[in-house]
Amino acid sequence: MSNKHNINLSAFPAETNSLFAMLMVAVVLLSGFFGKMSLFLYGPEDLIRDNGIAPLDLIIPTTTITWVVVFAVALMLFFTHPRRIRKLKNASPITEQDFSIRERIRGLAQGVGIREPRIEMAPQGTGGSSGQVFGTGTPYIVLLGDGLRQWRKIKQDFFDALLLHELAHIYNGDVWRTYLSECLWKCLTWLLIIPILFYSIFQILKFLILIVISHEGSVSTLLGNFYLIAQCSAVIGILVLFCARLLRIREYYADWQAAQWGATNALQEMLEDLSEQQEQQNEFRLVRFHPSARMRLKVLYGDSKLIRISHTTIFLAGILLAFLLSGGIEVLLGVFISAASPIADVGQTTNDFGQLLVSVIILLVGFLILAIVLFLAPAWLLTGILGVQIQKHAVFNWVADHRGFLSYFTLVVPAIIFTAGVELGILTVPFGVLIPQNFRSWLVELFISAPLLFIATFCYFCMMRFIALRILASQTGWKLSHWRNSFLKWASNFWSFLFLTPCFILSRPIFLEE
Amino acid sequence: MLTETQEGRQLLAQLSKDLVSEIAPNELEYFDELMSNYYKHQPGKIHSSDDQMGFGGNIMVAATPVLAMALNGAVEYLITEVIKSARTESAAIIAGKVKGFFIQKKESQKQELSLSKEQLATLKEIVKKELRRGGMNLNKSEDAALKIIARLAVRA
Repeated sequence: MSNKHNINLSAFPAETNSLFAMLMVAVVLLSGFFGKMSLFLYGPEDLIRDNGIAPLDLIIPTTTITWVVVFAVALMLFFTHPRRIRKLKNASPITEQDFSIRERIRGLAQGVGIREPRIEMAPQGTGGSSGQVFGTGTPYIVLLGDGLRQWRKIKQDFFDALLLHELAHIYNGDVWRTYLSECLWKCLTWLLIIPILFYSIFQILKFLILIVISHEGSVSTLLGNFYLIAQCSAVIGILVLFCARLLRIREYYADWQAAQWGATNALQEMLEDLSEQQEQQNEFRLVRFHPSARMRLKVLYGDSKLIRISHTTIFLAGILLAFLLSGGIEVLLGVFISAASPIADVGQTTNDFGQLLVSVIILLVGFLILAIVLFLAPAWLLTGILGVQIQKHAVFNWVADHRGFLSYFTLVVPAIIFTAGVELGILTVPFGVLIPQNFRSWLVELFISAPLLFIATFCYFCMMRFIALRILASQTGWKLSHWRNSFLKWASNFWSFLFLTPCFILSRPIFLEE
Repeated sequence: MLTETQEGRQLLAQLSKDLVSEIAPNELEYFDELMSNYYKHQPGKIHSSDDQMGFGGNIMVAATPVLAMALNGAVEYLITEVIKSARTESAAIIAGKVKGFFIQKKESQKQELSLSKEQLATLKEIVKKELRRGGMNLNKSEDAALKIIARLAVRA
């Protein structure tokens, strides 16, 4: 067995937790931003003042109301999803007749140290041998195909393996993250993006009618609306693909966890059957929530997919960072500027020291909040994603004996990919304030902003690799020790907070030009 | 349909049990229960399932219902073939002939039960297709189809 098989995946925190968190923060910030933009789209035309700043008494209530509505609807969907799944699958709780199944599950749940889930069954005849876990955690519900009654008797190992896979989802904390993030992005899509999409289509139709009737209409408006449609579609597409990608990674972790609990052989046998079935069916699906059985088998057989750097994850992190900051900058900076202007005016005109002190304190607190949301939160999230990816890269290269100064240059590719993700994310946010508005801005974006971001990212990657190698090389034992883990995390946080995120924001043409 | 009459079910159970004892002996203990499930819900094509937080697919639950389904297909094919060759004979004789394909007959009756190579090949394909449709993997379905055909070839 080669060395790579000895690397324990649980030594790494699951970076997908950070991706989930980043997705939720990005969706929330985008919601506030789109809420505000919806007001300008559908509201009266005189909402924006002459200086281009929206009045504070409009931004705060609109953004707050949007957040509240999106959150409320998302939570409502989240808490009612068990009922919807039950109805869709025609599921019902198991009866006393299935006492042995309940006992077995109780035993397995106790064995792996999680709360016993509730078991329900969906009638699928003799063909249903799948499972699904859902619920809000009070307790979670495991839905089994009723064919599993037979498995309990004739294929005990298959029955256990399938259940351990489902229990692994609970153990890894996948369930609430999956359903809550799904509800959040669905709300953002249905409540805010789809109406903007319809608005653009309406504008295009209006333009066409005007052309026919009065031969009037601006081509730039038409192009602008087409661009808006493309942006809205891209945001929806990215969110869907992003969630599917996240879920696929969590499936590898669930398989791996179930294998750790002793289900390796049965899982391999089941996945081999499934793989053959999938090859035969050869179905095309745009979005898949599970990796192919062949890929899952590879991971179970020791393929190092989970411990190698994932360029897709890095690319997605870049896109999410752009979403997060595009949504956050406009709303938070707008609120800060709108709120700070009158306070600063008071500070400048007053002779009263007390009043001056209060103004300065208010401004500092406001700035602190802004810095925490715009710099610290993204830095913390990036650490959870990029930091871990670089640790994987460092360990994998170390095991494969790729060392020395030149090996740092392999980080150029992920740095380019991250920069590309950020740039794509910026361009896809509808009405995004970070999108270059003229030719000069485009030049700044291409020749200053993007290269600066690339350099900052590359330096961050190199630093993380350097530290990770020093910290991990001296590691012995099953799991990364607490202080080593903390040191890595904080080193990454500081670098990201002090350089990477500020560089991203301050290198934008909108700030450079000002 | 063979499964719609008591006689048909008996024939199918008899043929299936024989095969299950060879291919999936661990299911013999639950044979009656599995067959009764089979009559209630005949296994169709296994549908791929991609529910989020699920396992990612359905796998064949037990070999018994799938073997019964394949045998059902085989018997229906044989009935068609027998009807083709003996349109004038009564249904009882036909049923007897079909049963004769699987169950050892006297030397004197062997001649009239023979199947051509082409018919055996077609039958194998039908059986295999049914087994695959029920979710049996390639190797096992090839093996099971050969076992069914071997019985026919030896006995007919």
